[in-house]
Amino acid sequence: MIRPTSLILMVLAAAAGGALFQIAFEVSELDDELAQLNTDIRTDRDAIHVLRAEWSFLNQPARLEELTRRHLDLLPVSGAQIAGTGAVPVLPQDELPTTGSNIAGVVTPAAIPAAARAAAPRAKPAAPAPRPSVTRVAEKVNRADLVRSLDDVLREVLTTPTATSGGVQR
Amino acid sequence: MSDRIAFESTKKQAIETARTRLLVGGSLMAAAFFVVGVRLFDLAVFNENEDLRRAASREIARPTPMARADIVDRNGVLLATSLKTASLFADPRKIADPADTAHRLIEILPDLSEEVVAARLGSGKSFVWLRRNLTPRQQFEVNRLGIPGLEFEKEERRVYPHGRLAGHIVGFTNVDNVGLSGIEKSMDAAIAGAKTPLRLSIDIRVQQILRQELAGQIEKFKAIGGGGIVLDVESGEVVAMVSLPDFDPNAAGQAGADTRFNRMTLGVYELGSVFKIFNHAIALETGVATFASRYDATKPIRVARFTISDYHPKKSWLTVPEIFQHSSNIGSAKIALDIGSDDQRKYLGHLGLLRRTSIELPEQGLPMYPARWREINTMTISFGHGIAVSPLHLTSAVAAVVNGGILRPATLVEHDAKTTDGVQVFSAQTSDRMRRLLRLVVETGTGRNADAKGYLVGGKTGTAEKQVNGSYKRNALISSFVGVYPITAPRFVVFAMLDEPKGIKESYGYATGGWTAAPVVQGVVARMAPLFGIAPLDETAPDIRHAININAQPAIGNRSDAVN
Repeated sequence: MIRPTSLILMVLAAAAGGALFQIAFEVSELDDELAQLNTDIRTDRDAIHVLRAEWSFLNQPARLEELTRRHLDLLPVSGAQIAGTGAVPVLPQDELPTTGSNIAGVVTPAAIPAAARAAAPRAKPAAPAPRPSVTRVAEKVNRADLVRSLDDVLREVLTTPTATSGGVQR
Repeated sequence: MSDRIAFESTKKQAIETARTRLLVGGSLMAAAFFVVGVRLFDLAVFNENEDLRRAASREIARPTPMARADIVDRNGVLLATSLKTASLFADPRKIADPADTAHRLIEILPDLSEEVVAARLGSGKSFVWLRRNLTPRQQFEVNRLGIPGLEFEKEERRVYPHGRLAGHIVGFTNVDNVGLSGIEKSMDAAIAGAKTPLRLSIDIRVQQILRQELAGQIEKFKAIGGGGIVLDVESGEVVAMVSLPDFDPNAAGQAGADTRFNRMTLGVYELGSVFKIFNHAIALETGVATFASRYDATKPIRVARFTISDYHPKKSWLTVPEIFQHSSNIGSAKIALDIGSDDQRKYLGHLGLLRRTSIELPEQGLPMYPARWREINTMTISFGHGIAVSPLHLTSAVAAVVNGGILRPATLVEHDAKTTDGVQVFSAQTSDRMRRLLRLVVETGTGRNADAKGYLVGGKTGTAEKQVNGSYKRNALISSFVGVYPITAPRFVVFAMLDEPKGIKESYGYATGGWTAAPVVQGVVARMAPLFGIAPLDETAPDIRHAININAQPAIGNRSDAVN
């Protein structure tokens, strides 16, 4: 016959055993997950590494310059286009529009009456700074270079023998 | 009865025996269970270290160690990195259909020959190389084929994303990842061991500007080469350094020796009139001459078999600033005679022009100067002949002249501190006077082509004939210009040099420093100043006029003859 104490102990033992198995399985599962995550992290890190190299490659100044020239209406800033705050004309106090912004110093162009605008002293010559013309002997960048990816370059690099290797092919 | 007793006793004995045996067996089992129980208890409760060790080994993936650290520029732009590549090999015994496999591989690796691959795959060996160093994409494509028997071996390969733009500076390695030139060689141990990238002082954008401007002038004047340096006068950091023709470190094996030659550090040249900067600085520092001193430049000096004459003779007495402005060799030689050989040698030594530079590059040329410093040497050295230094030597020394007189070691590795310790060579006053002289040359003298409007460039031209087999070659020139800006508070020294430029129609046949190299400096200054937040100044403002005024003879400033 089974005494109540024994019964309780047996139930407890069974419960403990079950819990142990449960935890063991969970740990094993987490272990697998961790290993997978580690593999993923490593893969991603390697990918980031490659992408960083590619990013640097794609940001070659010569390439950016050629792309800018081709697609954007922008030119390098010339010295004549840069002016300090001292060179900005100051509107006389009594000509400040009453209805416009009354924060001192903040004057939107639209708020300045045409007369006041004409009267405002000009610190710089009236003619806008001449747009710098591109007369520089631009380096010839051929179209193929622009669409070349790091992979293409790597392919070239890796197929060329280096200084000390007799050849890549064995 | 006895029969029964006998039977009983036999039976009892058997039971006894069985009982004893059971007891022994049971005890053994109990002991075994006890041992197992103790061990279980021990493992579960007391064996913490084992758990910790196990847990520690399951940490988040550590970064894959690379054989070499990256090299980046001052803004963190990647200049050199190691990429993992995979090499493809095969186990032909596992390849079911060599012909088909070869055909599909050729589509991914078109540079291989289909016949060769098919032959190798059908060879029946257990190992054949198919292709070393695949790109990541090629590896992915091959993997996607899913053909059993094709396998990869991991390798590392040094890659230089900016290629030739920083080739001479960064250098390159061999297949075993050992540095063979440039920073890769000089800092090989540091790069091989480091976990963090090595940060250089160069700015790839300025590098590009300098290279482009130089390449333009080289093409225009049909020069055989050239070079340029941009140096921070306060820290001694090299912001850009270009030597043309250059090479792609990604394919260094195919680069010729002439393209690998770094003219800026390994090449030593007689740089000509740019040396007058030092001659004047020494004269002002030692007090042998002032701005008001006058020298007779009416006729050439004849010493032994040499004749020292001016390129465009003024045939008159010249003041010290005029000698500088018109680059008079006669006047410079006479100043040098007043300085004397000892002082000249001493100061050139202080400026680092007689020893190796401190730059972190293995490719360094040692200055060449006379072993016996005679009077004739003193005279020719005053205008940059009879002494050969690398352009980096010169640039570094010019920085010392204009930055208040402090020579700081030139470096390619970024500094943490804004300024570095240096050696005071000239007084601040001498430095200030030299800045005025340098500005004079650009405003009204031989260097007007270097004048980037608003950035107050000061500088000096230099045109020297190259020595070939001991005699000077009339039409093989080293034309250079060394510029400093903004002259009122110098930030950068910009040096440009062209090797054997030829005169063209546009320059009226001249191939002098003022025509060939000065425009490079002008272009570099105008384009790089906005990158460093240097605002253009109003050159006509009274305080600036005052800062660059020479305070000498009134005639100065009105002359505008183009001379050497």
